Amino acid sequence: MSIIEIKNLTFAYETQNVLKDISLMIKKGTITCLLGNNGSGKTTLLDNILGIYPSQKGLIKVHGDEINKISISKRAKYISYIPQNHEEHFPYTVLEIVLMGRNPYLKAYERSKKEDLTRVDEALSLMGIMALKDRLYTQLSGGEMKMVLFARAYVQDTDIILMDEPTASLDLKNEQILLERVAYLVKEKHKTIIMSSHEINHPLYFDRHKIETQVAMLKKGRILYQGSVKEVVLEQNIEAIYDVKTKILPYTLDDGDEGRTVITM
Amino acid sequence: MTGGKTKKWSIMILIYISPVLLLLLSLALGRYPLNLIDVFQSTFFHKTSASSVETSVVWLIRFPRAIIGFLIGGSLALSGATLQGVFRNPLVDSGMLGVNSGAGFGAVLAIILFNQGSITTLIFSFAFGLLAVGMAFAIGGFYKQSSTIMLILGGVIVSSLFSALISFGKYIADPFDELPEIVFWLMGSLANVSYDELKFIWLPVLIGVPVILYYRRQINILSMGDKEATSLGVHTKRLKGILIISCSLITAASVCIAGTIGWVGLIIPHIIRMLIGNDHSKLMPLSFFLGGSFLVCIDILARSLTAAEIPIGILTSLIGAPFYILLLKKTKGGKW
Repeated sequence: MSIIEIKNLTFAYETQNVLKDISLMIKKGTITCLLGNNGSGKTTLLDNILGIYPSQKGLIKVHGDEINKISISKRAKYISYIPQNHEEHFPYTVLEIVLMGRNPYLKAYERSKKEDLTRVDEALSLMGIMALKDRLYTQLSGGEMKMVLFARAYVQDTDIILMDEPTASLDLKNEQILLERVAYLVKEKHKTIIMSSHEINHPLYFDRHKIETQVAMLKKGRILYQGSVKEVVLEQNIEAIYDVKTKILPYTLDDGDEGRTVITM
Repeated sequence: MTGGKTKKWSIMILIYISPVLLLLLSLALGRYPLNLIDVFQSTFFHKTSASSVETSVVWLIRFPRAIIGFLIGGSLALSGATLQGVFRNPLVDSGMLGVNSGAGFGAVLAIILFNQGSITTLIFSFAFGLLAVGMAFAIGGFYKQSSTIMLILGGVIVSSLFSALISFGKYIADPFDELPEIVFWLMGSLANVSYDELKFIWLPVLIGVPVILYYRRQINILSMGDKEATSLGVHTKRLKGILIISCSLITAASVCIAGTIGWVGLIIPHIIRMLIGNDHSKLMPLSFFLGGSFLVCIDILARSLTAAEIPIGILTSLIGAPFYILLLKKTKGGKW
């Protein structure tokens, strides 16, 4: 049973088509990686799933309901979103930022309740950033900011989490932590994650961690290849998408786990 | 950390009780010397310890003036804080959408056309203040994309249009009679307010202020930008509309009574942001109370510093600017 169904989605800004005839089925408790160059339509596809744009050709269903017919507040209980970067905003504390994730569960006039604060604490310790609670978000490092947004998505308590290039501009250590958290959320909390990424090794990483991973490779607004990691992450597909020659090498770790990695030539 | 929190709590408590103290002060102080305790005794206990002149000075002149001053200061500060959140820009203030210059032109027009009673001026000024926002909206609506920036641009265009019309009004006004009235009106004053003005301002304020405070928590989310706010369950377009209309309503009501009073809408929210933080659920009510107290305080000075009353719009800037600089130096910008 698919938690998200996309059928023949075509989307245009003004007159220029950005997404062409996209169809994608996403199962609960899986990761879907959107790969492709800048401008291939990854972010626009995420925006469409998020329901930002009202009119479009084709169909997007979440939990069986058409996305544009679900109210904004209900949508926020289905799908949370981790942006790549923000527009400029006021210097809120980490606590204030994470509390925003509880908005779908509060009436407009309601202040945060004790339960909301407990959930924030739970999320902060899960992400290992309890110490940042009273710090100003704007003064954090890129990696810390991402963890805060993760915590916010977690307290939003949605089945689906969308991430727009979550590891962009993170250092190696933070990238590692982030991938671990993503894997944890899918494995232990049965979240469904859709992430756009520039890094071809991400789906290979999730595959090695025995997480059901789907890959969709986009070029110029179309999905050219889609399927499991083994079916899709192939040298010739990568070349067709990125116009870069690569080699996929198998490796065996000390504990016997096997995996594959992509290297550029 | 805990020391900081205690300090914040004391500041908050101080801001919430300051209106009461300032109200009493503004009843007691002024160019007509009187004993407030005597007046209270004669009003509430029917003792004849105060003359009827003293009683009417307190209840017919100073009391409505203090209340109106408080509501206007509070409204301007609250609407400044709100619009800063809506436009995600700390430099925005309540006059940004053209309300001030629109209201100013309305007043100038009424003074030139009718040259009489303040109620006509009041209504004209209120109507033109709202008309200006409507025009800014219409101009902003020409472009669909990034409508927030376009709305700011619309406000700038409308402001300059009405400023030119105000200058034109000054140019053709009778220099002995109408021109001084126009100039004083534009400088801003609470000198002539009475219960009539209170009757006029209470309704817009009673509608606008609670509506804004109702949504104050969501202003945090709104200030994260449309996409994020939508994903967090906020109907951004609707909320922005509601907030901007409420702000325009209370700003127009304030400006049409007291004239253009600058700075309050800009510095008061800033002071709270520096001292307490940016959480709009705390910021909004605190801005309202501090803005109100600030204007009552300025008004006391305006009518007791010199023999002739100083226009209040001059004092808000004269006192507000150095105070702001001092605070900036002390907190080193605080949360900024």
